[in-house]
Amino acid sequence: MAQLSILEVIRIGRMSVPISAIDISEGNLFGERLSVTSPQTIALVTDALNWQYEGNPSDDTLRGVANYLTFLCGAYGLEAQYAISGTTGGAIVPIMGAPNPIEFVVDGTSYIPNGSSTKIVSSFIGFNMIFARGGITQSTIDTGGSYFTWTKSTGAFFCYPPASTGELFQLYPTI
Amino acid sequence: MSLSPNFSVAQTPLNPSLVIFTDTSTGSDPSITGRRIYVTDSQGNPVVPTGTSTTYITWVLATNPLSVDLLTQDLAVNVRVDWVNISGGVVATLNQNYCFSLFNKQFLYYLIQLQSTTYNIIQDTNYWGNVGIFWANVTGAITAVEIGNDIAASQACLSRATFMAQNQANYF
Repeated sequence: MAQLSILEVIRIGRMSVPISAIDISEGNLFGERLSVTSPQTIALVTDALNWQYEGNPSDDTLRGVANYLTFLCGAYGLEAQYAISGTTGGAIVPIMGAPNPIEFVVDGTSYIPNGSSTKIVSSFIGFNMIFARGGITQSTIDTGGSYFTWTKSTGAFFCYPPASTGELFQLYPTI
Repeated sequence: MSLSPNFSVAQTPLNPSLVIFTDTSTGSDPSITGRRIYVTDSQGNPVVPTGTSTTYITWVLATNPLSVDLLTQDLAVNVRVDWVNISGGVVATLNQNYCFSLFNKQFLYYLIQLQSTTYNIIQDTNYWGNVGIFWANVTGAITAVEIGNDIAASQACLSRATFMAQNQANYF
């Protein structure tokens, strides 16, 4: 593993300050932890190292002090390094609220008009669908009577037989 | 194009006594024949190199940047540069505040460097607390100018830190 540069150690020191402060403040049964290497200690040594690095980055004493800072940061430094590298614990996909149901009585201008059997229900994409026709829940299996098909990845809806004027259609999204 | 005056000032890390002035102005004005630097401490006293008879430092146009042996310890100062014409009239001027803190920064690094090789020193009575006070004064001095633009507060912090460094046997 390549040796960390002085600048990387300084950045780790900076990031270790809040991490150690949070960890220490969380404490245990009896209050805050007492830590030999407090966040103040890390912050102070980080500043000293940074100031010297800014003024004279080729100073050959920097490596020794950087090693000392690495020692002070300890496990917090590893956590800081992980945070700085941008490596994350995985993306959290937010759970979206389900879209509103669609209900209508079929006529010539309804959501699915008279005589039509297909519709792209884009608002339901990604969800499953419960389809009730005339108050009766429909199956997706063709047993010779009415049925419907639903492709949640594209929003393609198909019903058989085609919509007929006066029918109550109820489309409900489900997870 | 008229002159848009600007300059920067910095201490020299390898020799904190040396201060480097750099003219970063844009544009030009043919009437300008020279520059004058007025460095003033937080008490309003002029700060000039030893042996200077004026309250300002002469900065000829041909020299940029200009290196001046100005400091014996850290100071918070106001720096005003005047761009002047042949008769000494001010054509353009610019004021900026600076916190020169390198003496104390380098002293803190010296302390930490020693500490990194003799870690047990942190257990000495009052040692670590005094290092913390010293550090707080240095960072406070810098912050006072960078955020507050206040050289009086900055100088108060620098003076405390400088006193501790000059009396290090008592504090560290």
